[in-house]
Amino acid sequence: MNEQERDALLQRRRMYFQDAMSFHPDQKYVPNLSFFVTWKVYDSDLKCKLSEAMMDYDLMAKLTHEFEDRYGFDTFIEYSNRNQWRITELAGSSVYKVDDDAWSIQVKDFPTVNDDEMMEFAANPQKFQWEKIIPRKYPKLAEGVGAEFFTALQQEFGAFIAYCQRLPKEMMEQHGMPICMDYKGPMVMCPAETIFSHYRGIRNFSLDMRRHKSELHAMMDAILPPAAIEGVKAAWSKIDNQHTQTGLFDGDNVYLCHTVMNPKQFEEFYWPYIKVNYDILEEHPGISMRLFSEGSAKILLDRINDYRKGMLFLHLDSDDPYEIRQLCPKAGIIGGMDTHVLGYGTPEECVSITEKLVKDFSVDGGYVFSENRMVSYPYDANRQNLLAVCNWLRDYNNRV
Amino acid sequence: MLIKFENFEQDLETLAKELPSPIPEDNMAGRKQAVAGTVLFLVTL
Repeated sequence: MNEQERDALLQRRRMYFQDAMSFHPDQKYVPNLSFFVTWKVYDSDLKCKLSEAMMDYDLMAKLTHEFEDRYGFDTFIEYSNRNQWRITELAGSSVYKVDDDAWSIQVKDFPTVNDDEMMEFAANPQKFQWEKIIPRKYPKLAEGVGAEFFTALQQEFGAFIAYCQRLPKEMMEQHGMPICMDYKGPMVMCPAETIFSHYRGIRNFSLDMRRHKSELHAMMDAILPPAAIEGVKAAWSKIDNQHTQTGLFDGDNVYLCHTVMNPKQFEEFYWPYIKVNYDILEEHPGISMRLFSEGSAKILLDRINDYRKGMLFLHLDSDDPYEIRQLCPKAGIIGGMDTHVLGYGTPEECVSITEKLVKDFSVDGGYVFSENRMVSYPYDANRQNLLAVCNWLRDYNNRV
Repeated sequence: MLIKFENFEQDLETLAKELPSPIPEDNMAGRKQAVAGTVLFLVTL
């Protein structure tokens, strides 16, 4: 691809997204957004193990380019950089295990803050993290480390950041692929997410919402003090209403711990935080954010309907796109392609589903084609099926 | 220097003094913040 062809493709792909995100009836183009994660390694002709790819940024970059050469997605959500395994390995993590036979990354879910320590954490989070959590997650470090470890750690962080910056740039320059996300401004992340994922574990967090409410609120306030929320609002008061020039979406939020909440708990522990983001976005027409709600997004839908159309694009996980469109006509939809069919169906079945999704959702606009989950395991897809889908979509967009 | 993650304040003091840093020596608070930020990021990985 020469420079002229690349620039033309880049512009064309941006146009696909503008068309989808403008939410007008009879959307012409349907962009193809990759939600492929570690499946890229499995699919590669380089035939490397998952652990080998995760420990070698050059190899990971090579197979990511190979993936795009083969399928020609319009953009990626994930540039093969979501697992920072080299860093945790350096520190001797006791949490992650990469299983090359199962093509999986196993995470040990355990509390790093015990029941009787929640208020101690809240009193001084950094001190608690340093003296209690680091030794629990990285026992090797508590045996004692010298200057060489801290220098190596800084270098490893640097290498990871360099890789994260390098790959989107290379994909744009070599494949004409626009960057999916460019953050227009800061967003509030619900502190319950950090507590759920890193401090209390799934089981304890679920119980905390009933048994340790005040301690949980104290931890949340310590992680995200009210002043920090005011800081986010103040930053947005100086930000214009224009869509970013470089990214397709202006922001990204990922929700996970709402999956263990009932509506009342969601109202108390989650909604007050993310509402700040929604209120900010409501005041900034022209800005659109991708929202990936793991599990179901249904708990959010009534609330999204109170905001402007096209402000949020829901990347679906387990939800039926038809049901979501009916319940929440104001949200854009990303997804729909069933990975079970992509893995076990025929190319004809996969194309038939793609065709139906494109036909049904382009009527009202606000639709981006993608997979209905993060594609990770060997049987989540097969090459023949994925090629059939990507080729059909490319032909469709070229015919328009 | 041997850090055993037993005393947050003391460990940061030692690291800020002894680790090479692009932050000037007269800005110890900045050096401490930089070291704490890098190391504590491990908690959320």
